[in-house]
Amino acid sequence: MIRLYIGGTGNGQAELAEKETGKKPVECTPEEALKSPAIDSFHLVTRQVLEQGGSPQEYARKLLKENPDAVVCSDDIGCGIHPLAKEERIWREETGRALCILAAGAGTVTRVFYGIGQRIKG
Amino acid sequence: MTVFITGGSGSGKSAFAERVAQSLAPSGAPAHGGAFCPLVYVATMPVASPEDKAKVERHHTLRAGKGFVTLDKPGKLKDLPDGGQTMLIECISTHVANLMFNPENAPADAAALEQAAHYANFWTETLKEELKPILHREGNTIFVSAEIASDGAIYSPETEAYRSVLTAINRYLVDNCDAAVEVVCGIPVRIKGELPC
Repeated sequence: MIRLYIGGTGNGQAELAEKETGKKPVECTPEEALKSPAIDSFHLVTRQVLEQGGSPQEYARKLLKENPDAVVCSDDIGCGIHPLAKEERIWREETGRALCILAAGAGTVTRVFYGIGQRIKG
Repeated sequence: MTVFITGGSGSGKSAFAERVAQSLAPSGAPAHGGAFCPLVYVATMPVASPEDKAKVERHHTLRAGKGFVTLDKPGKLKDLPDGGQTMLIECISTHVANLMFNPENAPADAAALEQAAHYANFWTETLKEELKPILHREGNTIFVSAEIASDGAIYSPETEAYRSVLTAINRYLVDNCDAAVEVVCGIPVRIKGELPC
């Protein structure tokens, strides 16, 4: 099952994920992420999905189905001031909803606080 | 019981808040024709754009069939029901913005409040006074707020004042509620008290 690591930017999600799973997360395009064993910066994948005219929520469902054992690392980008630019607001909210979908289907969800993992699911 | 729920954008906090409300509501059929309804949803969002409308419609869909009556309160939180209903107020972050950024609500002694700190204090105290009786009303109250304090950016003085007021109000609500929860990727993370579900 998917193992999800989330946290504020620079909190060490990828490092902790590698330590715990032995897989090194790498940044991917949406296409590459469907096959990658460990995905870094999932929030940038959702941004690319939006830029390509796709839906991050649909993409998250596809990822769960096609890459069910992936390690996924993401920044949590939803905890700031409501952005002025509509595209930024959509990216932020859609990334949050995509992460809810991944978390619901994941075996474990770990929130990373400066390198320390807090297991919130599994 | 009073419950404070927060989370980032798209975190699933609304869906969780509805579950909490439903688990706390006394059993009974939803209201029709003014009869007692156990669940009241207080919507603070003003509808000013198609994006707002879409957001409100999404929330209506989420609540459909769950037995809520909706009260629109895009201004002050007054004339709220006080008959023991379980009330869900969403969202405190919008409510704070509604009050602070409405020129009609500008403090009378504006000149004395020019300094940012005084301005933020005025609104913090005004909002605490407004929320105090709601915290002590009969019936369960669920407050939904938002996480806006972790993007590390520096904003205009008005937005900085807003951040300062909202975080102070969130602290006040956490301090005075029986339970506090942060929803992360749809998962409730307990901060204080016992969760009702």
